[in-house]
Amino acid sequence: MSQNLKIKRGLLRLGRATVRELAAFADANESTVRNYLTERRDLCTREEVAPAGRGRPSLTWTLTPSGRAVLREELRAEMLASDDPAIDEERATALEHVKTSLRDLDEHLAGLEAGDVSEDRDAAFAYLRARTKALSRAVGRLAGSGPSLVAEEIALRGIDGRLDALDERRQAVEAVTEVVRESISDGMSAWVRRLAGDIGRTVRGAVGTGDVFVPDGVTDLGPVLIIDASGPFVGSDPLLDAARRANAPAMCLHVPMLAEAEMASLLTQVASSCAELAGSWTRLVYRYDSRHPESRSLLDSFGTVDDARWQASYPIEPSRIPGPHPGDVHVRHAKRMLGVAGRFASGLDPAPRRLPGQSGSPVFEASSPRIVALWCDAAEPSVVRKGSRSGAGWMFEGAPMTPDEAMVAVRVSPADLLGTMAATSPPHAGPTALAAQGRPTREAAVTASGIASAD
Amino acid sequence: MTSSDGSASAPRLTLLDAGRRTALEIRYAVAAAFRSGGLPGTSETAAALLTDGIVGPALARSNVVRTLPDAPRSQAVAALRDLVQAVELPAGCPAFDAIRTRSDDFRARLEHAGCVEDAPMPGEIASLFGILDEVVARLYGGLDVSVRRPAVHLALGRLHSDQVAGLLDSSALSGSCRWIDGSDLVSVVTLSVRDDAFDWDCACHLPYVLAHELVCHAYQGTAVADGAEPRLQVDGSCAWSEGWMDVIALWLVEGWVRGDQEGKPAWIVQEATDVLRACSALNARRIGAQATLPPIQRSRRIYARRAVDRLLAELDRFGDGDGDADLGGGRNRVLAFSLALNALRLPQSDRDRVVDALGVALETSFGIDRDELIAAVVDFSATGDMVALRRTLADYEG
Repeated sequence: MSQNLKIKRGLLRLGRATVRELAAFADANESTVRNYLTERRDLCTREEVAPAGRGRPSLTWTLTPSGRAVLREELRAEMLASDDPAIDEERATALEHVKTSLRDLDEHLAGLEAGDVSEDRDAAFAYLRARTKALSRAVGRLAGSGPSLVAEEIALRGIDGRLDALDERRQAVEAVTEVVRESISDGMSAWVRRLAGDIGRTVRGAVGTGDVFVPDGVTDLGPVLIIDASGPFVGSDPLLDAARRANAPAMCLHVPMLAEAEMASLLTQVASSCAELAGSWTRLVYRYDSRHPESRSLLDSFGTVDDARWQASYPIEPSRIPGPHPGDVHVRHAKRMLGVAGRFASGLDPAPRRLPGQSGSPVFEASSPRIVALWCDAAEPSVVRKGSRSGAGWMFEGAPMTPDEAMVAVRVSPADLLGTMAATSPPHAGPTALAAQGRPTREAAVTASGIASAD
Repeated sequence: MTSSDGSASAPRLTLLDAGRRTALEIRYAVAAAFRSGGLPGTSETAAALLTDGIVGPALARSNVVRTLPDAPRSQAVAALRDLVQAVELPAGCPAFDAIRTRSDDFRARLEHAGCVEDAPMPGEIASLFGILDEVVARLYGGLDVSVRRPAVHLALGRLHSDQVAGLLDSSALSGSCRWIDGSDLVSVVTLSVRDDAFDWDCACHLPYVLAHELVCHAYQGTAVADGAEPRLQVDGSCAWSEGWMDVIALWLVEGWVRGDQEGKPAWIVQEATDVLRACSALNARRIGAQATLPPIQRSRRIYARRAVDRLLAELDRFGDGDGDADLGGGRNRVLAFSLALNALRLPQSDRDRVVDALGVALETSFGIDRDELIAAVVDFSATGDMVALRRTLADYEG
């Protein structure tokens, strides 16, 4: 590339530059640059300017509007006409970047397809879609300038197809989630109460504040899936440890806060995990931690906090506790989690899967409900037990409950939970079971959505 | 704690309870006085004495004072000072001489610890924050785009000792920023500290954590041209703020630590290498795998950083130029663009759209298109004309 061309490119880029800057860019002597600029007074003016308030004034060449237009035309013509290796090198670099981006996209998509639960699927999907589109344009521009990019174009089409498939799957999950969300409003409360009753009868009461004990003799819990929604805490570790000590395969999904979109992602991920393990998950534990100041707000909203106990453990002024209005965020949070629990309770496999050899739209498969959603508290069994009637850890019994209350009602210590897991057979709460209790199942709606369901 | 002379009345700030505040004062004093614990010469006796006779008891005492009422707490601090003073240090040995000097410094730092009920935090942290705020204000004030300086306050928050997930596995500090704008712009930076964990590394992280909040968030949306619009808060998923601007925060700290500005705490001047290493490591950790960072956000941060690097590479080609090269010529040019964009009142989605498109553009453009792209970035730095920038980037948007 000629030095003059480099100087012109530098001038176009900075618009206002010193001789020193242009010389550095063009790898030229300052005198060469100065001479060229002096010759090209049709392009720019010369003045003393302080560079963006960061130094002393210096002699600066500023591109005039007309000069800019002239320069653009000249550069465009010169670059088109020349076989400049420097331009080829820039093009080759761009191509390498395209290839790197394609690999990035492929990796991300693989993550989404595998159902990475930590992913915000909606955001990820939108981002990957936008990035693919932008990359397609880039490939188009590059291809228009000469090189053959057939492989890249094919790769992009493949990525597009995978995104389409994911989108289809996502929409199906959203549709079902909506149906289930409606169905649980009536059925969930009863389901949770019944479950609570089951556990309440069998709990042995081995607890330890902040610790998890596996009850004596427990050797086989069955696989445990823990959804840890305890925010920044890592309190699910004791649960995991306890499960493992009891020879139970365990997996923890950390979901700090579930937004609406995240729930759909979670459903898919959980289903995916189930599928990977041949549907062998037997328990789903949803955990929240009362040590978190915000969760205390939730406790407050139900009037169950033992203030003296709380203050003794955590001597902070209530007025200094940050967080949302009591119950606000967390009740919404609980409702969302009810959606998750409801899906499993209703016996639907929460994610559509393409059967071997099947083409066209994926379908939902039916499966037995082997996963139980519980809201478990590892930290403060004595707090959650306040108001208990049976001493087994339940705060609400007997009275009709809203779904939110129901979630609080199944707040148990992990020891209770694990003990119960060992002692009870998996509760069954599929659509038929709920229907037998006179609960609406929304089966008709599910079927109308084109999604097969079975108890 | 107000670090600027804005006329806004001071907001209600989050404060640590007195016990925790005193604990932090002790831990900060240990970090600032004894630092990494290294001693001149090789003396195992001196090292053991420092660890077991001074630092260990001081840290233990910091845990105890958290739960003490006012009077016993002050007594405990006084007892700690006495304990350190009473440690017998042989004369004539460089290691023991160093311990003596540091012990004196430590005791001086604790002179008022636990005694001043309203003291919100170790004064040196507040002072450091004030200095960095001035640096950031000067940078934003030097832009071609006019910004309105916000009143910036520092509050102190607390992290539970269990909070070790994500970035907190690398530092006991985290920062956040909120705005409480009224007729004046008011930004409140909260520095949250995990119980029982403030140490030398944390002290070294302080400049970066504070600089990030200041340069990325406290001055975000302060452009005068947008004065009638409310500032629009971003969240942790913002690739612009947490990816692109985070690089700028590190540059700022690097320039500041290496520079010769006055007022820096002595330990930062003397231990600049440690400080830079720690800040750089924490900056790198922000794009590492974290349980609390969704992969897509992590990826976008990385992509944003990559875009900064590419832009820097282009703008570095013009050398240092004739301006003050606090950060270096290329960095100064990237800085001008970054601060100008950050100062605009844009929703997070717009910021992210720009950074995504810029990333693609910087990766795939060549020839005259690349020249036009760089020209658009440079023009934007001077004009803050978002429309023109978006017009150039339109071809690269998804």
